[in-house]
Amino acid sequence: MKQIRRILVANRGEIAVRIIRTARSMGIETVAAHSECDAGSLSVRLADGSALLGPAPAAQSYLRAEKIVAAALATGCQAVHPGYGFLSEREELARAVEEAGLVYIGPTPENIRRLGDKLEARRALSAAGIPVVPGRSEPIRDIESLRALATKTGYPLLLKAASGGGGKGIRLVRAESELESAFRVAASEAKGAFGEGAIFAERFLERARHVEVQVVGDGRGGVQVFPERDCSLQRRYQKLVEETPCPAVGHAVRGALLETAAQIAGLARYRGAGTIEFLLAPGGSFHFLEMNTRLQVEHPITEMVTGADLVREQIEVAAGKTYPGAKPLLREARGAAVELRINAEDPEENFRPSTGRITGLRLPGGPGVRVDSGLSIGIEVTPHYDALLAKVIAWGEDRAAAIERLRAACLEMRIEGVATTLALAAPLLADPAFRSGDYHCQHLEALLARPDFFARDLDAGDRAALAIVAAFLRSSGSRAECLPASDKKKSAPRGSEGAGDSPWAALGRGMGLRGGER
Amino acid sequence: MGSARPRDGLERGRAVKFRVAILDQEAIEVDLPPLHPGEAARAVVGGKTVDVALVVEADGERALLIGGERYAVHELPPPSAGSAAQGAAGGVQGPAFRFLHRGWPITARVESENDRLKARARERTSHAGPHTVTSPLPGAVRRVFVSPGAVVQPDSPVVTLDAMKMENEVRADRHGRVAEVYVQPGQVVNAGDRLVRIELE
Repeated sequence: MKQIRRILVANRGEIAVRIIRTARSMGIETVAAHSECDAGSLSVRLADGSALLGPAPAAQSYLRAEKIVAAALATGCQAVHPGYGFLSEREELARAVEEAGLVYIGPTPENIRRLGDKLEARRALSAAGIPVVPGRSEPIRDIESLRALATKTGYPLLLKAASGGGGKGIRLVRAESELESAFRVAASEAKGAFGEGAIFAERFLERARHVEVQVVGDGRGGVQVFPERDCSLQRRYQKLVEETPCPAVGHAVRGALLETAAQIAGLARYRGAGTIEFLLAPGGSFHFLEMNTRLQVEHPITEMVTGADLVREQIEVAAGKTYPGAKPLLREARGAAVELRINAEDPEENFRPSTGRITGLRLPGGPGVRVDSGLSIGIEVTPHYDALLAKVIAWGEDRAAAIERLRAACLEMRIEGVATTLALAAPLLADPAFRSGDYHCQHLEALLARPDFFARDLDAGDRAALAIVAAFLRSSGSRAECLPASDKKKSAPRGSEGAGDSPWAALGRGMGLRGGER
Repeated sequence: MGSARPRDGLERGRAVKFRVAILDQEAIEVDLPPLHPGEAARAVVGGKTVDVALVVEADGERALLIGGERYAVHELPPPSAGSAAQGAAGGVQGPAFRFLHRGWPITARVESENDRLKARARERTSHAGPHTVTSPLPGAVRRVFVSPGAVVQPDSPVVTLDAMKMENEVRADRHGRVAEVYVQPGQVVNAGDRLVRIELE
């Protein structure tokens, strides 16, 4: 076993905080690698040390493998945890860390190359007899070969970037007439996001669910397999709500899913935490979609039902722990867990990114409730990074109890200063299809498109009271109104209180110091 | 353009009149005095008087106690220009605000008397033909400047109104001849009441 006493956390936001917490519980110190604008972030405050990577843009900080390795060496770390996003699925970082004689808390460079490449994974698994979504496993670079494929597989068809993920470069084509323009857009998006314009095409499965299986491998064929997660509630291929277990999966399908996932991880001699994603058709058949060779955003729901600490599992296998026996270890689940992602996006305005200073914050708690968050009051939400601010996770003895706890937790939560997906909690958790568990990958978009999605019946008493609240905001109480967007961008010096947002300023406005309207 | 120049009267204790449309429903009238933390105040909403108090916690969190019930002020950024919420809702003209109420996002458009004036000024200039000048706000008529037959130009003073301790001049918004005068000094008018009718020449 390798000795890990100090870990460089090469990430930011809630996942950096998440990693620091586990390391601390294991008696391991952490160093938060950060960009200039994250110098005052929660992860930097919680870590034992910090290392500046560079300016705010990720391309000059969190995406620079050589700076990360240098920071790890300079701060006396024995290991690097990449988190998710950024370089977590790039062979480049894993290799650079290992070549520097450090431990990479993640898959081997070979794992990343073979499984992270979507086409390579499709080819290899198809050859091993694992069902993949019908389509083509070769990169497509011209419209003629795409048209030939479409004629064979039929429509609807999904075009995807050959290298990449995160919903970029994906286009749905419902008819031949849309094929050419969809190809152009997907290829140019793929080129812009991943530097490679090649795409591939898969048959689009209607009303399918996105079901995925968490695995942790020891790198020698030993595998732990966790109960499946359902991540079908997506918007533009971005997950928003995840739950475990999948309400549509019975005993037999679960067994087959977990066995297939274990087989994939075992075949690859996978090391570390990874997730194997499947599309589950309404009849119960499933097809391999892709493997994410990293920890995932939604990993806490798995932790809630199994009691596992997946970051701990990652650190242990990275240090050399092996699993006994030839059979995959199936982790038992108890109850159900649901997660809502709190993104700095405005759900009432087509999910426009919302930036600004956090002026009000309350994180919920209570039995079975967990919040993973990188938020603190006064921090600036900038356009430099991913919109994910926090995750609210709830566990219950059964699915209904978990949903009720999530609903209650979201009622308790308060975030002021930016618009977030917290505003989705009440309408979404009241949706009958979600409550019944009968939904699929296209459900959320259809739901959000309803003009009455946010509409609500208010009784006369509530309407009168809310009219007073609104009049109060107009007369003196609004903080949003008196902070124009251009002012919001200027961040106050660290440690100083944003004068526009302090209770004192609010009080002054309440006393009429702001004067009448102009 | 503005034919009268009232202030919104933020003097301590003096209620300000608002019209509020919540979620595009019909407007509710609210008289709300400036609120100061820890001081009891009374609002009139839809004709009913209710006790209101503002609570500001040490961390900046705010709530209104309305008739003893706590309403958290969980403000969201205002809707952007061009979003659906920006149309005039329930005939209400002012800016829109957003907040969460028991988890649900609420958009409310709030019109002050000033907004009403501006909206009316816009309305007046956009209409042709015989035209009635109406009172932009409730108040008492102090002076009447015109009598039937008088020729007025845009911006000619028509009447002055006393409202909220301020004298507000109401002006003609077009060229024409006064056909009828509906009010006399001392008379109390409501917002929207007819003042004079102007015939186009």
